[in-house]
Amino acid sequence: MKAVTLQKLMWFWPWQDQKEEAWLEKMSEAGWHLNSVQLPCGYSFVKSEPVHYTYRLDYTRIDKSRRPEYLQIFQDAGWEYIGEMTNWQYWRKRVVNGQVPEIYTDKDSKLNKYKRLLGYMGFFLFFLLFIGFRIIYNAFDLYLGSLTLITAMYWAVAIIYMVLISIYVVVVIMVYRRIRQLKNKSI
Amino acid sequence: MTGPGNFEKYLPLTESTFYILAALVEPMHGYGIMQKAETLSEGTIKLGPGTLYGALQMLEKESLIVKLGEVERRKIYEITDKGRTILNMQVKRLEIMARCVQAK
Repeated sequence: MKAVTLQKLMWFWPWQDQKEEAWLEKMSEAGWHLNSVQLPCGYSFVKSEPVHYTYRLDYTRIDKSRRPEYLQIFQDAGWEYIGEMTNWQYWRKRVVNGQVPEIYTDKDSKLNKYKRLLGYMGFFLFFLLFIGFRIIYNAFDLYLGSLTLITAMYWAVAIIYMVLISIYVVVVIMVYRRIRQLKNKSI
Repeated sequence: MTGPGNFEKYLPLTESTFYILAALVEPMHGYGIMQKAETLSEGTIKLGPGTLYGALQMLEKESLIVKLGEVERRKIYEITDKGRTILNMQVKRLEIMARCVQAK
């Protein structure tokens, strides 16, 4: 018998991991179980009996040498690994007797997850800004020369780039706010 | 450089870290630590794998624990002398806390 599968494209912002987990849980309750994740924002499901799973997304960059240990510790604790998308690790575990399992069981370690995310995004933002300044600097340089099709195109690229950076800055701020919220409330 | 004064920065240990160190007075792998921590804490602490993995990385980096080897893909850890010193410092603090309340 061939497995019935379903491909879905869904967009979640990086601070919406809990929303994403809830969505995956709902899918499983309807009998659609996450089978794999693919870039960009692709989810593949397999149909079978409904199961009450808890899904948890971990954010961590693990190099090859550390990977087996990371996976083993989670699997020993009864978690099933589904896959990885841009450093997000997808895990699930069955809910037994209404007890929702957690991969992070204290506030500090949960905060660390978001701090890793923020650190990585901040680092990337630095690069984006660096490239951005170069583009704008060059754009002015060209503009001072003469207005041609080339300079117009260059400006178009510069403006698009600035818009993208602005969005990225908002995303970084939202992740930062997520950390602040967590700090102010107990786990 | 390695006097107990410099160890103050590790205190107070989180409950999770405390029980991980307490479990590692004997060599043990990750899953063993989870079970032992639950027993030692009389069920008050259940270590999630994410919390445990992160703590092991940090403790090893700070040489509070050391990796002894590997059995069936599972890394075996043990507490170091530095780790023991810090654990004992934490216990002393907890004793003071408990004593000041019990005396009343």
